[in-house]
Amino acid sequence: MDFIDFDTFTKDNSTDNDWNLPQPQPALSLPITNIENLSKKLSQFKLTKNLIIPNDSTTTITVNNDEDELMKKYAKLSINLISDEKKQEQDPENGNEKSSSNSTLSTRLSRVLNDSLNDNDQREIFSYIENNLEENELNVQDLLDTGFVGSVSRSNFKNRIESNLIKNHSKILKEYQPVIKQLKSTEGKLNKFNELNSSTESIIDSHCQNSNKFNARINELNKQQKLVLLKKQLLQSFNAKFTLTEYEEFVLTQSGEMNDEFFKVLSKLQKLNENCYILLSLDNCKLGNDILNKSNQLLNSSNDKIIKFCNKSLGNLYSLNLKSKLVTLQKCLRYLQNKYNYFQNMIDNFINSRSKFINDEFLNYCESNLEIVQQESIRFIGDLLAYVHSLIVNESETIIAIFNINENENDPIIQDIINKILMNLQKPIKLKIDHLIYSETKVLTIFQIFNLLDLYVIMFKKIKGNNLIEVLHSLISNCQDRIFSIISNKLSIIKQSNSARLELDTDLQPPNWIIEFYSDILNLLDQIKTKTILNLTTDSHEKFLDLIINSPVEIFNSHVELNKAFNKKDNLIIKFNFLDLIQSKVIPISLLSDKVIEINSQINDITEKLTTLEYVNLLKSLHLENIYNVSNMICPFSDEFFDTSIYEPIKENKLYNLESMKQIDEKIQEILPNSIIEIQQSLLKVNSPMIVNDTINQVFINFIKFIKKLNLINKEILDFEFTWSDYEMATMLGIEEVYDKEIASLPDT
Amino acid sequence: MSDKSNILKKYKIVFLGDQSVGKTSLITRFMYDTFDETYAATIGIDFLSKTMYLEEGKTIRLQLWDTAGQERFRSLIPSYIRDSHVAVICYDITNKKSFLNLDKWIKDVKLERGDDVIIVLVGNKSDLANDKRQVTIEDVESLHLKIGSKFFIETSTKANHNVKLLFKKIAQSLPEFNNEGTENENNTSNNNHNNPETIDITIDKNAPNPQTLNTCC
Repeated sequence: MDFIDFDTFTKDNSTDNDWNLPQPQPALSLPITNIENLSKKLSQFKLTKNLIIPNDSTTTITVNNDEDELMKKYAKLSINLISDEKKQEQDPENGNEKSSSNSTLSTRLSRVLNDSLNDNDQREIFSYIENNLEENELNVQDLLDTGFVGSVSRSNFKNRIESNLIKNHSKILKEYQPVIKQLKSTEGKLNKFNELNSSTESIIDSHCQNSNKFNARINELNKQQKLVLLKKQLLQSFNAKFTLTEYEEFVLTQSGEMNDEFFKVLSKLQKLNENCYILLSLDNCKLGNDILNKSNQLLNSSNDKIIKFCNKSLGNLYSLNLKSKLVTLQKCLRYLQNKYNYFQNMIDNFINSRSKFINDEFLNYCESNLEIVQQESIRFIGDLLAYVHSLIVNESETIIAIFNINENENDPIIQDIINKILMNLQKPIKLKIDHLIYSETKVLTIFQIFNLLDLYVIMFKKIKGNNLIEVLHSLISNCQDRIFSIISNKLSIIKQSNSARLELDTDLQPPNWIIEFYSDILNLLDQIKTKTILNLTTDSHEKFLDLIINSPVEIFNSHVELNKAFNKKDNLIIKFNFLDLIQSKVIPISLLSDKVIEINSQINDITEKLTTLEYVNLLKSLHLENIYNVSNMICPFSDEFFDTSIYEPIKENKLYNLESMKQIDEKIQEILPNSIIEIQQSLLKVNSPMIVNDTINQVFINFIKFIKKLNLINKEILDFEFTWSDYEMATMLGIEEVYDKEIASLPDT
Repeated sequence: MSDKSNILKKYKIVFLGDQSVGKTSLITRFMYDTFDETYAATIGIDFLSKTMYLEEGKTIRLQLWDTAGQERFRSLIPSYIRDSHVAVICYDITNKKSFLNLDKWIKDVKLERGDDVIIVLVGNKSDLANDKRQVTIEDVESLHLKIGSKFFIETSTKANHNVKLLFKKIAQSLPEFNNEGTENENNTSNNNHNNPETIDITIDKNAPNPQTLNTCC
């Protein structure tokens, strides 16, 4: 704490250091706002005690010494001051001094007043002074007095102010006394703390050093541990990937059960075996080779075990009625599926044994039905095909149930197995049915067999994957061939048969063989609903039609030609009757419509020939043959154009004269009335009355037309007319209506 | 679940009856739960098979042989009746002639199998019963008693009525099936859910036309 020195107020600072008044110190600015709190905190701290109570002798002495020195200093100053005043009184130049002190004061005041203090501070200062003046009952004039009184007054005033200041400061400081005390005690504690701290730090430092060493060691060990762990993991991984435990080996080799565990270990072994190739790629492949050899050995023995199980199970399908067995078998098959050779061998073995079993079953079935074969081949074949149908279905279902290892019934493996098993049935089925086909002589029976086979082709096509359809197609083809061959043989026999030839007698009726021949064939044809007969190709169909229609006609014709007993007319009539019979037989069958037209054409040819023959016979009987021929040579009567002048050259013919015409007229009157009966008698053996009627009509129409033209020629050349006109003759012959129609259809002549 | 796979054991059921009585529709409804309005005559003999999962947890493999009703295929049918376990003889309840012809079919069955076969009489098209019925329940019941068939039932493949019940009853009628062990009856019913061929044969108790349900014996 600073105090304003007494002497500083007496001398001017600019001239003498003694006059340099010190600036009053500002009041202590101590934070007393929290003084109560502080005192609470430092309850043990008592400033007054320390300062006032001289508990500590050293401190008290120091304070007393300071006070003594100060007192001495002030006393000394006061003495000096008194001596100075005496000197002034004695000094005549006292007035000058006084003025100089005034000037000093004014300087000081001006300095105070002009100081940089702000207005508030100044106001505070002066208010304080003013209050003090009033309180102490001081006279301002005394204070302002430049003399001793003033000096004393000011000194007093100053003392009072300083005393107040000291009091105030003491008061403030007293408040801090407990805090100081507390701080002191705290200092000790803090020192202890610091000591403790430094000792702790030193301990910690030493520990840190130890720790660093320890950590370094730990790190080193950690690294080692990681390496060891890595090695361990590598070894474990290697162990897991490339080795089997003893138990696992036992499961694979010794254990009799093919359970889930077996397949789990087997899967592991497979992976192990595959992974061996990694080891083999290393520089040192010895380990890889060793492991590979061992794993191969284990795999082989496991494969053998699986195959043995599969063969055993597949050899006795009844054992698969146990679902667990079936599931195990399917697991085995699934495993072997990727091992083509093993799988294929096993499947081949199964197919062989199964085919043999099915073949035996089939043969047993055939043997047990021998009686039916002998009695009724159709029924036997029907039953046989139904049996085969069931066999295919059952076998397919069984194979699918066993081999459906990929959850796909259409798996090619399954289809392949079914096909191969059933393939061995092809031969016995074909042999059995072929035997029946070739031993059968009835076309109708073979046709029924054909129909049966054809139906089963449709039915078998609905069943997945069986190749017995090929057999059926082959059998169908054999049926077709057999029908061809039976018919051909039959025709061949007929062709060579004498009895067939002898059947042709003068009654001119078709032979019985053709009736018998068609009795079977027509029954067959009647049942056909397909576009071609027996589903043949178009060419074969045509060949078949030729065989059943043309060939018999040819054979018959050859027989007729060889028969010398027949005259020309008989020849025509018997041929007509034969064709007429065929036509009547085949006309209802739509498949033979082309052949009907063909036969009809042949019938028309024969009818025309027969008409011509009868017409010529009529002309002969009337002696008109020569005239007819001569006229026809001049200009055919068949030509629609007719003019009598064309026939002028007939005059030159000796046969053509009035006499001969008269004779012909007589002949006409004599013969023509009976000619109907004559021709009807002649055509009596023609089986078709309609054809007979048509032929007679045509003969008479031709005759009337000729007579009409001849009559016109006669009239022109010979001036002669027949007794009967053409109409009269037509009426006589009963063809007037037909003749009318014929005339009406002709152009005017 | 039963450890029996029955891969070799199949039950052959032959469907007989006049043309267009609904034999194929019956099988199609059972197999695929569908009904086709368009009629297509069966050619020869068709084959279908199905594994049936019954409520009791039993499974059974049925071979269904669908025969053609047309006369021209008649000669084939005895061969298929010969080794069948069940003969389902169908008629159309709106066609008296098809019912009268049952005698012929029954005769065929008896001729081939004697009494060693389960005969089931099925009157199809029961959805038309109200308007077009020509065969009464009494008619078929009388025939049933006369020939000693296992049971008779009226079905409608169009309305899917009694079809499942028919097949359930057929399965339950098989003597071999009845003789099979029942040790696993309680723990196999849930296996149905995992099998794609599962047929739910639970009978809808609320199904209409209870009268026809009662016709089963």
